[in-house]
Amino acid sequence: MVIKEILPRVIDAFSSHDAPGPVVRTLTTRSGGVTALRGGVVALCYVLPAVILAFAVSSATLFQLSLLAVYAVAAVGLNIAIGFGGQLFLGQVAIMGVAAYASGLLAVRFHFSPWETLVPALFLGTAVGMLVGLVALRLSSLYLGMVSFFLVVVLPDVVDSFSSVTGGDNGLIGIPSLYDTFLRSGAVEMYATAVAILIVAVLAVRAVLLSGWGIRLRALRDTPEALSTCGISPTATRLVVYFLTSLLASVAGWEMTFLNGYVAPDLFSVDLTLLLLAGVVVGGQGTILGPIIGTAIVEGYSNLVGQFSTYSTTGLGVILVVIVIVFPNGIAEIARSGLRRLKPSGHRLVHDVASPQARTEPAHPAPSGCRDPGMAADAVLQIGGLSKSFYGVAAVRNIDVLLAAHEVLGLVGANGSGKTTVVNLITGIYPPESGQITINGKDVIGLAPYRIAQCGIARTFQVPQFVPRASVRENVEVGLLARYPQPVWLPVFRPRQSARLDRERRAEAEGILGRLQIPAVTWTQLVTALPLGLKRVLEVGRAIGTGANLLCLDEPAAGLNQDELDRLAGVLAALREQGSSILIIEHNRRFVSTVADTALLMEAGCITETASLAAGDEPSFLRDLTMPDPAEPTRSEL
Amino acid sequence: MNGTAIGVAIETAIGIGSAYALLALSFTVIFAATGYLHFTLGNVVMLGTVFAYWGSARQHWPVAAVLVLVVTVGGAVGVLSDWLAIRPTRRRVRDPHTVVLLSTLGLAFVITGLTASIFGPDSFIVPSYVSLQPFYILGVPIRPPYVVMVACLLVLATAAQFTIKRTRIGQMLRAVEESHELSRLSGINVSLVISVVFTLAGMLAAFSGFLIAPVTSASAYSGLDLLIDGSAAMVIGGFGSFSGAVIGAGVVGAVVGIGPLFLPPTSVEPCVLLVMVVILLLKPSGLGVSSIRLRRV
Repeated sequence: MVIKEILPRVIDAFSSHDAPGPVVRTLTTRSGGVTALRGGVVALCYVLPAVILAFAVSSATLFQLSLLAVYAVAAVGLNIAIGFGGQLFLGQVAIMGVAAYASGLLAVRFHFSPWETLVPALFLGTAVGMLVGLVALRLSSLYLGMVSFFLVVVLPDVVDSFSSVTGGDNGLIGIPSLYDTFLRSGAVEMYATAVAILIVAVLAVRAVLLSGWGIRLRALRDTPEALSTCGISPTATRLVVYFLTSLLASVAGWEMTFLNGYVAPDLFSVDLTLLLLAGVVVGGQGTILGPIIGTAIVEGYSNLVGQFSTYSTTGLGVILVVIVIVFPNGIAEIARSGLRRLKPSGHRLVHDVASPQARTEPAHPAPSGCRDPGMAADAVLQIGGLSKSFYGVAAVRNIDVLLAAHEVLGLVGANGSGKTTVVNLITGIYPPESGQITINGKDVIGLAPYRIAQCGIARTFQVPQFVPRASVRENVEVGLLARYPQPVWLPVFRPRQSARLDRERRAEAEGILGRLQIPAVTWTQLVTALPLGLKRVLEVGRAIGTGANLLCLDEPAAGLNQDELDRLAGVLAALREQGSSILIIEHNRRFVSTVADTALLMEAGCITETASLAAGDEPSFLRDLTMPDPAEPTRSEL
Repeated sequence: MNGTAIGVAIETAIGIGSAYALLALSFTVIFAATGYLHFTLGNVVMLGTVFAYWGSARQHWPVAAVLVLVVTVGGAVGVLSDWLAIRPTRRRVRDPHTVVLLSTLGLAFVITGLTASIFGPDSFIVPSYVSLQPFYILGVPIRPPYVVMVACLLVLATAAQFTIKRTRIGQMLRAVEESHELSRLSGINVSLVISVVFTLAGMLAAFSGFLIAPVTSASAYSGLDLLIDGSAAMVIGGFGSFSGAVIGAGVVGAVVGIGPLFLPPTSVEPCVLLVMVVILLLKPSGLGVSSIRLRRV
């Protein structure tokens, strides 16, 4: 009976993060008492076998299990980097080595007590990790994996180069033990410590990853562009990833010192990197408990064939290649699909979600003549003399644009006329060559995209940019992250405050989804299940979430059918009513004449004509523009 | 430290630098054709050294036969690495760069493990393909293998230049580098061209292993150090730049050749990494002249 209750919970926790729904549900809907009780039972489920093991097996096995717990901490950290943040940070073993040598040297040469070495070891290890991260920030991300991995390769050489201090290949000996031992010469205490640290680490990581940071890291992994247009600095997020992964590696390194009782370079070999990597990919990148199970499996294999045997290296290498290529999601995926088969199937996504009622009712008819001519004085967006060329070919030539509050501006033109470049210049993706861009009175030239976003602009993309393995609601939450600032320590040290922030953010996201008439059944579904029309609306939702009063929509109508176009037009009209200014880049002339107040024609990088659409008649250039059929099947590409 | 020692160090730097230039070229052609850093190549060089040892010391084959063996093994492992670790990712996965890095790294470990299982974990001295008896120029003893390395670099680099500029395969290679899709539409068998590239890169890498084996040694565990040296040479020169690869190899050769004059031998690899990081921080695009890519060589 109990097992039936517990098993799904265990698998949920194990595979939680990329399967939206189950875990979030437990956070939001269960009452406190029940949650605590179940939490206790689940915790007992994890802890009890560990306690039984402590007395059932030999000291040598217990040592191996302790070592496994230590490796698991590092693997959980590695997974934060490669699984969640998408950062190929492979230097964990080198950081473990740095922390281990720091604590070992302090204990042996400066007679610190073991616990006193903890803080300096963590500090030094994390500092080295951040240093590698800073180097990689300056370079392209291609270098990160290389530089951090090479650090592991050269670590033994560095240790040997300073052998008078480090003890060289023979290792640093005379490390004091962590406890004045009494149970089975300290093996039980070490084991208990390692397991306790692992549990604390996993709970802390879980708290962080279930907070807004989980969404933020996955957005960094899948779509850093979207993240920065939501006002969040991808660079700062990357640094947090490096910090977390280095901190966990340092903890593991500190534990290694006192678990082994000596520090030597061969404890921190590239083979350990291979073991951790194999563990993470086997367990499933981007899950919370997967790395622990994966590490247990590969460490078990490694012990079976002999840790120092060449079969260990060969086998782990084969495992790494096969898993990353054949099962990119690791065994978590297999477990999850198995579970899905056990559970009654959930609600299915209704594909055509717009109800007939919503379709017939023009959501918010735009009242004509509401524009105040005096508005231009407080222009939301002001562009003057903007130019940009690529490799000597002028893409945008000396254009001027003025966009007032409550105004919808359509920028039309043929392919290659420079429309998207204008959006990329405004949002800071490219630096302009000359010209002025002012958003809400702030000069944004030269600012990073996330800083520009903070000035009150948000955008959508021609090809919608989402975090594919996140729910519809979580994708809207990406836009809200900057408005609910949540320091990374908050979920760990102030869980209630953090949970309140999460609840508020979620509630606002749901409010936005409701306003956009995105059906509630889809909110907890994976975003990839949405039809294209809703994806475009959802991107608008993410943009609204940032609180921006200026929205840039890059070809929002491309590939939409008439129903979807009507829905989008309704959304835009409502936004305009609420005071947003909207810049639309579009091919679809009918759509532009429906929603825009003013249309600008762009040809070969210049704005050649401007026409007001308020009067109701279509300007000639809009008629002449060759348009793709709106029902063209471009959607299949997306 | 006397003049002779400095002369020998410089000679070593130039010789090793030349051999590494071949290795860097093999990294570069693969980067140019696929956009990936190939973590397995260091181990192909290692296989070059180990098979040079096996052929010459255990089988007592003539130099030419050993050379053929080494280059064949290199080419085979090169093309296999594509089939095993890179090709399957092409359609299958979301983020091919991460996956390719992990799969080529995994394959590198497989090769290390297998080689150590078959040949043992020890480091072997490899008989030389030319006499090791030095001759003297201005009192500096010149070891013939270094002369061979420089000569091989000159011949092969010229041949590569000619192939890429003047021949049909070179033309196809440049097209593939530009765009896989367009090349496919123009009737180029892209997958064949990529196989050829991996074969050539593997042959080059193994050949550079053959060249350095007599002056270093052969060990199953040298692959990762060679990976650092080769990729450092490529990266210092600028990703995907041919002339850059040669310049970068010169820098790495200088550290490897001249470093031991001042430093303990164990510090050489950390220094290569340090030099690479420092140069990259100062000039992220590498030292290659404005990062000339393959097509403009």
